[in-house]
Amino acid sequence: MKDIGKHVLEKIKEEGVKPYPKWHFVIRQAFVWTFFGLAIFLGGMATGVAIFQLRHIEWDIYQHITHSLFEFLLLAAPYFWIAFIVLFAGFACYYFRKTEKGYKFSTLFVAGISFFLSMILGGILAVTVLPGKLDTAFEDNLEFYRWVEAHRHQMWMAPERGFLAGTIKSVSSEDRLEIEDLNGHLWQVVISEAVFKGNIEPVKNQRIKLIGHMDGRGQFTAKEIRPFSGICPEDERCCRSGRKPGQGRRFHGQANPDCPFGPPDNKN
Amino acid sequence: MNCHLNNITDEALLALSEHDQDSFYALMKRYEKKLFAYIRRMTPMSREDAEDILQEVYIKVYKHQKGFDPDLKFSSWIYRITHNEVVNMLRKRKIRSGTVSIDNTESDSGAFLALLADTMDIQETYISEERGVKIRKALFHLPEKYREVLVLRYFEEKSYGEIGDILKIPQGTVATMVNRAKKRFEKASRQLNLTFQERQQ
Repeated sequence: MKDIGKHVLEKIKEEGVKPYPKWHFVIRQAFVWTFFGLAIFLGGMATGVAIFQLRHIEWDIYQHITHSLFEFLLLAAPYFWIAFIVLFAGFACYYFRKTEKGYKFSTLFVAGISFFLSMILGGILAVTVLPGKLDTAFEDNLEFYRWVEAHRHQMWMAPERGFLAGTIKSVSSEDRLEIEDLNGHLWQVVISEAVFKGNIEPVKNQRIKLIGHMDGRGQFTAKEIRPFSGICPEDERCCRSGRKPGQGRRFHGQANPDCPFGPPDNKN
Repeated sequence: MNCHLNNITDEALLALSEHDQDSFYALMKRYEKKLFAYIRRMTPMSREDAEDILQEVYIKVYKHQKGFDPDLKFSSWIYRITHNEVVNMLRKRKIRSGTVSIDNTESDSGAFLALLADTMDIQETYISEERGVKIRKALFHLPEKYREVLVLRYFEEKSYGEIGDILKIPQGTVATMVNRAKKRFEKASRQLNLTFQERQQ
């Protein structure tokens, strides 16, 4: 066997091989931790939007829209964001395993921790306006997102059962709207008796959901108008206090007299 | 080589290596035989190829010396680099287990079988050279991931913790893989008619 050590020393001398500086390794680890943190943050953001969507689905009327809670959950689950949560948990797991000591932990443990951290961060972000803004931005700008999310709204396309969703095409008068439903059909909607739930104002291009009854082909009378993204308990409180819904054309800062939750509480 | 270097730890020798060639040379000499044997056990390749890999390993050790994690044993670190280098070489050359003839009859096959026999509760008193060849054949019939844990556990006599550090996998996974590898080895050795001496009554 040849003297390998001697050969190596000669090669080091001839080729001027130098050890990598310490900062080379520090920066590499810093990058790995940064990517791990980024994956957790994005996973947290996805969790935040998923929580936002879950809070805004119509829990109060699920038994009218679907046959069971299970069917409702299957239809309304935020699959898009769940997929992102899993994806980013996977990235976080991958980068954690790339850290110096990351290999010592089992994949299941690391995946669990990554998922847990995303959940915690998502829970914190869910109380901010960020997830709602992100959801709206995606809805407004991404055709693909609208296509993926369509299943969550399709259960509202049942006018014969009193559920309709679509975009306001024109506001004919105080009591009448024209909307284009999710399948592209036009509807004349009477809103004179409608209760506005959540923070919503009937203006052109606003997407809304309606509860009421079908009067005939292309004719619908709304009893309730909801934001397209749904309402959450906070929105219901707004309705009770008459504050936010009143910002629109119907209530002018007064308590909503038609609010099905009754008159506003004094403590509000 | 200076005699005083014999009493210095691997970690200290590494720290001196950048400015002291003798220290690095001493470190290389300390691991030369072990790593050379390890490479040969992991891959059915010629001596020259194994020497080339070892050279590359030492160059990498020299280049990456400042990235050495002091929480790790130096031997685990240098075995990890060697393991990675072997895997890279295998990928490059696309050598797969079982595709290269095993003509090496190193006596360490006997030691391996004896160690394996202990843990399998099989008493082995004599292992022929022919059997040694069969053992190596059986070993090279195993998938790479099982072969590497058996080699590290029974040839290199590394603990589960050290194997975990070398292969960068959790200790629990090492234990599972060693058990699976032993079962696979038994099966492979049976297929190759590698019969163990009957258990003593």
